[in-house]
Amino acid sequence: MSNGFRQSQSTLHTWSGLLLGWILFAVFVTGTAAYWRDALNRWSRPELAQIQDPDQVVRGAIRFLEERAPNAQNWFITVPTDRSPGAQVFWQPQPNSSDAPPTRRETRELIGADGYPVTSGDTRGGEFFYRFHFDLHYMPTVWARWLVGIASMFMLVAILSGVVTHKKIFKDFFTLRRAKGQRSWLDGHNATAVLALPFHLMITYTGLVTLWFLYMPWAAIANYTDSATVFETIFPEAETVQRMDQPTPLIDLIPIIRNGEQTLGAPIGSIKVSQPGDAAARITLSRSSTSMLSTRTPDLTYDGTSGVLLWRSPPPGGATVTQGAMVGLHAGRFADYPMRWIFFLCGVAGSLMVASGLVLWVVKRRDRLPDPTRPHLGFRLVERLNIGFLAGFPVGIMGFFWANRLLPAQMLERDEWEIHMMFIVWAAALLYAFVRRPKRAWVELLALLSAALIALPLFNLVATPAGLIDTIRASDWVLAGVDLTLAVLGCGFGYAAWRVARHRPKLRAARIRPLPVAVQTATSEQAETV
Amino acid sequence: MITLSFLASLIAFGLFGLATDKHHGKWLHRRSDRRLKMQMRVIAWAGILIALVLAFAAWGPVIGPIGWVGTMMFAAGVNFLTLNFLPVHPRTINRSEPPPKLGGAR
Repeated sequence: MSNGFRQSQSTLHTWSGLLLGWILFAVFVTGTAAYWRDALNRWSRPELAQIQDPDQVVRGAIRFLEERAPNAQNWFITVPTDRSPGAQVFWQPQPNSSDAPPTRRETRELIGADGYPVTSGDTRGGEFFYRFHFDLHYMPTVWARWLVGIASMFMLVAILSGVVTHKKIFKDFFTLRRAKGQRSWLDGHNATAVLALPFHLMITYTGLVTLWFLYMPWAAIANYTDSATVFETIFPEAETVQRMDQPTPLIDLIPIIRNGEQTLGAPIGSIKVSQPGDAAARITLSRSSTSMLSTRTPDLTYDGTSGVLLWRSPPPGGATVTQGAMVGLHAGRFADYPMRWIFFLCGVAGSLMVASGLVLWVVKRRDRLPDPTRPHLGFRLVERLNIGFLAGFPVGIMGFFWANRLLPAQMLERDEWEIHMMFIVWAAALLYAFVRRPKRAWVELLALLSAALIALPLFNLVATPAGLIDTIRASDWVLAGVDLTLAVLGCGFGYAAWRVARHRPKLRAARIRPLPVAVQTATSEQAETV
Repeated sequence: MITLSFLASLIAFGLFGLATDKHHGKWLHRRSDRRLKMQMRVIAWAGILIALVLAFAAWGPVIGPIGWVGTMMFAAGVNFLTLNFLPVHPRTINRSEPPPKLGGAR
């Protein structure tokens, strides 16, 4: 391979990695956290009991909906598992209702392990991280998805050009030159990239495929006249029924669920009841997405009064299965705990890869600066943004977690304020990164992050019913795992803060005319802080 | 079965790591031996194949390949950290090896 081509790929790698690297980092971190979405949903509601009997929760959900929304057009119920905090229920009022359309907040409820609505404080929990990693926040969803899509495309280019640039990808597979400055950063960046390369390629490519409707709509536009037909083709469902205004009780759902599990050969993930309490009622069961690779799960539709099976999904086409498998691979819903840990660790490696790449840009260019004590604007901007994102964004996430623990349970729009707190803390960290000397800012933000992470499990121990000792004693490894992971991450960031604090950069004479002795002394002191 | 698949990958990548010049010398305290390194690589490839079979047995034909790649990445990561961060104990020095010839510095 010619050096000219490799050099061109190196330049492409550098700039495709840098330009949207900070957004990629935020997407990677939140996407990685989203692998424990259900665990974080439970962790953010520590007062809730673990689900022991999912049927009891489903019965409670039906009872609640019969009282709260008896004449709704549709009910939606997620079937709980021992991983989830409860059954999430939504309902859609009749479209011809004279009342103003209710907000999403008014048409949803969480049913707890005892079968009754949860009275704890509102929280988005792990759902927030899942949505943030492709929808971001405070901006229109379409814009956010385009931005994340462009960043993902840059990442794909960076990965492929990085493979070409890496001269000894196999020979240096196990190489780490420690305490060698820029070389160590390069080796660390290469290691996190190469060791989890299959994951990085997969997650970036499938991330783009997940939103292919938005990025590449031309095939659908060329073949279909309206979006409704596209959706009917891709997501086929039983014929919609109209209300007959003949009140008829809904059949017991539990035997229907058992029948559905037997027919589909897997657990049921969600239930939809159309026109409940009417002679026209229909019950649609969807196979759980945790039971198969593709997220295009098959459905069964039953008569809501007699329990007769009326319809089942036709076998999906090749394109649908391919896309569904790619989405499934990306989201990892099928993953059992060992595989989920591997997904999570690969996500951590990806976050470190992006972070080390961004830091490497600064480390590499610092050596080339004419005067390291007076870097140019671009260098300073990247350096400060690195601090504000790589240390500041995780500190912001800690703002979210601590808000979850400290905001009053009955606070109005508490779930929204958890998110606001994350952005307020992150904005403060970003500002801090711009006003503080870089080295001090790194050390202080990393130390703050470490303290906030380690203090969380300790706080849980004394202030919540789900402290580490209780969860371990109850063999509730989901909640114990979250606390232990936070503590381990806290120790890791603490070590990073300690290493940065101890780091003494080698001073290099500026390539400009010699300064008077007094000025040299002053600049040396300043360089110590860079 | 998952554990066995991981162990096979762990051994395989451990051997791949020890077959590199740097870690061969550092951990085995002997000069680069082409034949031994080749044997290590052959056994390592066999380990990779065994891990594939075990991953299929553990997760089935659909999820198995994903689990196989996942356990390989994890095993490679564990070996990377072990080979680079675990201190080499003096007792592990192979004393049967002849001492390296001293240069003419004196």
